Amino acid sequence: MDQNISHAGQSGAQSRNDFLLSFRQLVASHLPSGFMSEPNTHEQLEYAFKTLSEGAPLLANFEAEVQEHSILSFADELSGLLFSHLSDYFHNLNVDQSDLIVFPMPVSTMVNSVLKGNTDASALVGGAHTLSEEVRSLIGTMLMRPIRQAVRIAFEHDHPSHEWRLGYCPVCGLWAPMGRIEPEHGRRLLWCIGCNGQWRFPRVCCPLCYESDQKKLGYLSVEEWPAWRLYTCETCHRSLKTRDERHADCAGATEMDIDYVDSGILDDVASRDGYKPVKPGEPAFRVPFDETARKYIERSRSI
Amino acid sequence: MSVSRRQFLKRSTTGIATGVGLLGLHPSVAASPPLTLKTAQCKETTTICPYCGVGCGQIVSVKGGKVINVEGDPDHPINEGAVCSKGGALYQIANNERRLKKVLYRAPKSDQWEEKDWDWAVDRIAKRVKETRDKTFIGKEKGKLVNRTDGIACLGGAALDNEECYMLSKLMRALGLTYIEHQARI
Repeated sequence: MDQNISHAGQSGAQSRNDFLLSFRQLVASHLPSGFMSEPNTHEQLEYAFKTLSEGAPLLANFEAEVQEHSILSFADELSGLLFSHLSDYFHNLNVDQSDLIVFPMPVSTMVNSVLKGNTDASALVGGAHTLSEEVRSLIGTMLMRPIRQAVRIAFEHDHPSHEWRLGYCPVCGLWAPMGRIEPEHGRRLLWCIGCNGQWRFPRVCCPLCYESDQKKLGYLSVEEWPAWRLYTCETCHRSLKTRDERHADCAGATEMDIDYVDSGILDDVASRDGYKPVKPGEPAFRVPFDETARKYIERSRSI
Repeated sequence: MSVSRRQFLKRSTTGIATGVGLLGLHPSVAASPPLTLKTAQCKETTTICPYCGVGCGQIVSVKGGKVINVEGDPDHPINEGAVCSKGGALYQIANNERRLKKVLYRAPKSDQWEEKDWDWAVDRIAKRVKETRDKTFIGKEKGKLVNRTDGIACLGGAALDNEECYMLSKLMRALGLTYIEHQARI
């Protein structure tokens, strides 16, 4: 059974925009109540910013003291929203609304583990075993969006021009699952599905392994999707779908997260052609860094 | 970095209300199966614009061995993606219907162009260079050995790369030229 949500077919009469609006309202109505309370000492916060310059994402050293009732309440409403839009989809997969988001261990521990990149976001959707790993990751990542986006907003306030040139998000530590090429200067920006943030990354370089040998890099153009590129790397055999906003077909491009789901088929194309796309909410490296992470950081500094 | 814990959290919770772009799901896309979608492998290669001495970075995109696009390199520190009118037309070095692909020769006092082959052209150039050099060569001047000719000048083209310029200047100096110039310096 096809489990890709973007292929799930029409479920209910509500449009994509209705869904986006509902989700925005849902998050906005929950966030002021606060997901975090007194999480860090001043020293811990200083340490998180210091290690940021060494390549460690902010949340990896950020201890969120999660207000469990806020998370549970948000999870309930998110489940309701998903079911109101995708009832047939979940029904076909024998998933009940009450089973969609079930925390298998204490909420705070679980959320902190996901935020630190030690646990995949799919683990947050532990009750729905019939869902694919990708869909569970996507829903789990949605669940974490309010916390991550809140930290992102604070981060951008304090570091408005932070020079981050790595392939994973400086706030969440997740690999960018999608990029865009700016219409004016042709610069490539990577997008984080966790916090909805964007940052610059070199065009001719692999974000996932920092390969810069141009003979090993390239992109797949898809005839039926002319405004998109699937950047590929022969070293790590991974791909990154990228929206080229200079293309006429890209006029009036929608928000990144909507286009991300809409273009799910491009990830399938990449897989078909032998390249592994980034999974939604896929953490890059654990902190403290292992040898692979250290080499990645070293490569980024040598270019 | 000096931000207190409370300041940071306050920004987090108040800023989120105005945050835009929350995750959305589009449940209604009926896309084609991926196996029917056609892909083509393309390459992006960085290079330097050959037109002047500024050295702007460019990205050349190639598909199936053919240049399909040339654009300013947004990551190059000199031009940051911008290109001048000549650099912006660099694509036409590779693809241009009006570009000459054969030797054309117009004889003195003729109003007609004749198609010639390369062997004929190279022989003709060599012959004319030798004739001019022999006619104008200066071996000694004021008792000093100079071995030069003032009858020929050489102007390097903008599209020549470093190695081509090196070879060209070596050849010209071997012939005894002193008037050696390059477009990039003009």
